[in-house]
Amino acid sequence: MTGATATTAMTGLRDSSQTMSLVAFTTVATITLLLCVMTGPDRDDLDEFYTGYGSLSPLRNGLAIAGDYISAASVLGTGGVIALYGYDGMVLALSTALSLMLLMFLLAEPLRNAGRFTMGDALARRMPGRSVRIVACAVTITALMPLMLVQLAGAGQLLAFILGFSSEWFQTGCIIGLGALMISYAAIGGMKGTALIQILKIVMLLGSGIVIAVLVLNRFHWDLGAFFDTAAERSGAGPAFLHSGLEFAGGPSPRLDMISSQLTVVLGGACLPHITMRMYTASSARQVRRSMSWAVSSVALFVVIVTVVGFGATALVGRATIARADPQGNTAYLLGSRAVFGADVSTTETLLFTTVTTAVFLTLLASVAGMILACANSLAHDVFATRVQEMPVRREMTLARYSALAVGVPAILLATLVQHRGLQPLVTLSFCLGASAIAPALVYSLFWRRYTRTGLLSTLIGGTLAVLLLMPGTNLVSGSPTAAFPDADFNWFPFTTTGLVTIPLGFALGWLGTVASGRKKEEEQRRQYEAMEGWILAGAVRRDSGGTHAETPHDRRKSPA
Amino acid sequence: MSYDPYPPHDSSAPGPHPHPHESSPPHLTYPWQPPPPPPERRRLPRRPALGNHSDLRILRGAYRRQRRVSTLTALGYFCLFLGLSAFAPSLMSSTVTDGVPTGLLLALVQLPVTWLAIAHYERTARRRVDPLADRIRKQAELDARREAAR
Repeated sequence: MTGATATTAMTGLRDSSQTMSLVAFTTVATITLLLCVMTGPDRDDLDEFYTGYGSLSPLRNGLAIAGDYISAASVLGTGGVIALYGYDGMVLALSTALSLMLLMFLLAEPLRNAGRFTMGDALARRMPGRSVRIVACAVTITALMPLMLVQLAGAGQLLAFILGFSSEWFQTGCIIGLGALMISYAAIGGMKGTALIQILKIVMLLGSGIVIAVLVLNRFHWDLGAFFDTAAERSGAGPAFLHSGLEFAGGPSPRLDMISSQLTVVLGGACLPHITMRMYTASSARQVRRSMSWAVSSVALFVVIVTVVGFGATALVGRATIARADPQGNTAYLLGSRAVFGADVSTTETLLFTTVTTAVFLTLLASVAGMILACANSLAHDVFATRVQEMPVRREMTLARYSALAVGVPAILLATLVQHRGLQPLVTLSFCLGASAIAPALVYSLFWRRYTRTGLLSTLIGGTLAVLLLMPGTNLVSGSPTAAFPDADFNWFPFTTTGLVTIPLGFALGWLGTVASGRKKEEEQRRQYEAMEGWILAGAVRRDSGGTHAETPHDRRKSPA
Repeated sequence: MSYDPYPPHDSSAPGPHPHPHESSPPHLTYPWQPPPPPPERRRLPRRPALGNHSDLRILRGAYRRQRRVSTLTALGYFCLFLGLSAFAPSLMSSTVTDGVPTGLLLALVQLPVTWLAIAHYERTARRRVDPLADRIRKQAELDARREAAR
C-alpha cells in the first residue's frame, strides 16, 4: 500500500542512490553481524552474556542506552508527527527526552543496585518467588511485542520505500530476512554485542542528523522565524501549525487528550524493559549516573535534530506530499533529508543521503535486536532458570539463545500479518503498558517500604489488563479514516491513549493490593525492605540477601577505595 | 581497601576454633627459647546492624531530597508547559522576538534546561550522596568479610 505511493512520491531518488543504499545496507548488515560474533561472550559466563560485565565506559554505555531508547518508531514516527502536526509533534519529542531524564533522576541508580539481569530480578529482590518473576516476564513480553511488530513491519515498508520496490512479496521477504538478522544479533552478541551495534547506530544517526539539520537551517539562512513561518505556510494549516491542538483536534476533549497522551509518553517511555535492562550493565551507581548523563544529552540532541528535520520536511516538501507518501508521515524524516539537497544531486550529496538511509536502517535493526534480547533474557532468566534449583550456566545461556528465537519468530509472523495496517496504536499500546503497569511497579517496589507481593501482582496484572481492555476502544484503533480499522467503529473511549484512566488505576491497584494484604504482611515487607535498604540506596553488599556471588567482587574491584 | 585491618594473607591464621592439639600449651623442649606468643585474638569493632545505622538514615534523607527536588522540578516545568499549551493558547501564540511564537520558544528552551538539570544533578550527587554511599558500602563490605571469617 505504502510502497506503491512511496515510489511515485520519491521520483527524485534516482537509481544511483538506490544502488548505493543497497550496497550500504548489505555492508552494514555484514559488518554488524561480524562485530556481534567478535564481541559476543566467549566464555560460559552469565554475567558476561546478560550484562557484558559492566566493561563499557560510561560514555559507551550512555550511547548504548540512547541507542536502545531512540528506536525506529521514534525516529520515523516522531519525525512524521512533527511534519504533520508541528507543535504537538515537537512536544512529543520533548516528552521522549524528559522521560529518559526522569528515569535518570528517579529510578536508574536504585534500579541498578537492586537488579541483576532483568526486571524480574529487580522486583524479586524484595519479594522472592516464581509468581513475581513469571508475571514480570509476561508483562515484559506484552509491553515489547507491539513495539517489535511496529519496527519489523516498518522495516519492510522502509526498505521498499528506499530501494524502490513496491511488491508485497518483497516487503514480506524483507521482514523475514531482517527479522532473522535481528534474532542472530540478540542470540550471538548478547548484551555486549548489541551494545556495540547500538553505539554504531546512535553515532551514525546523530552524525548524519546534525549535518542534515545544519543544511536545513542553512537553506533558511539561520532565520528561525522564517523557517517556522514557511513550515506553517506549507502545512496548509497556517499559524495553527505552530500551536497546540492540531493532532488531537478530533476528540470531544482535545486538551485533556493532549495532556494525558504526553504524560503517558513521559511516564512510560523510559520504563520499558529494553531500556531498564541497560541500567544493570553499569558497574556501579556512579557509572549509571554518568552513563545516563550521556544518554539524556544524546537524546536531547536528537530532539533538536528531529524537530529541525521534521519542520524542514514540511517547509521544503509540503504537508500534502508527506501525507500522500505515508498517512502517518513515517517517511517524513527521509523526505526532509532528501529535499535538502534540491533537484540535482551531486555524488557527495548522494553519499550523504545514503548515510542517512543507512542510519535509519541500522536503527531498525538495532532497536528490534535490543527488544528481542530483553524479552529473551527475561524468558530464560525469570521463567526457565528459576524452575529448577540450580541451573548450569551453560544451559541457561543456551536457553537464552533459544528464547531469542522463541520470541523473534512469533514477532516476525505477527509482523507480516499487521504490516498493512496503521501501526500507531501498537506504539501507543507499548507506552501505555509501560506507564500503567511497569512504572508503578518499579516506583513502588523501589521506594515504598510496605509494598507487598499482592500489591505488586495487582499493579502488574491489573494495569496490563486495564490497558488491554481499554485500548481497542481508543481513537487510533477505529472510527476514523486514519485508524487501524478504518471501516469499523467501536470507538467508545474517545482518547488517543488509555493513560488518563489506566495510570491512576495502576498506582491505585498497587496501593489497594498492599492495604488488602493486611498489616502483618505490610510490617513483614517493611522489615525486609529495611534489611536491604543499604543495598538499594548505596549498593552495599549484605551477605544474607543472597546475591553477593555475582556483584561483590566486581564492585570491590571497580569502586575507588 | 587500604585501611582494612586484616590483610588477605592473614586469613589463614588461626581463627576462633584452633586445632585440637594446639589447645594445650606447647611443650617447651628448649627452655632457653622464649615461649611463642599467644595467637593474636581478632578484635572486631562492634557495629550495630546495618538497617538502623544512622549513616543509612542520612543517606536515605539525602537521596530522597535529591530525587524529589529534581523529579518534581522537571515534571513540574513540563506540566506547566503542557497546561499553558492547552489552556492559554493566546499567550503561547503571541510572538516575542523574531516571529517565533512563545510556545515554541518555551519548548526550545527546555533543551538547554535539560543539560543544566543534568549537570546540577550530577554535582549534588557527587557532593552529597556519593561520600555517604561509599562509607556505607565499605562498612557493609567489612561486615560481610567479618561474617565470612567466622
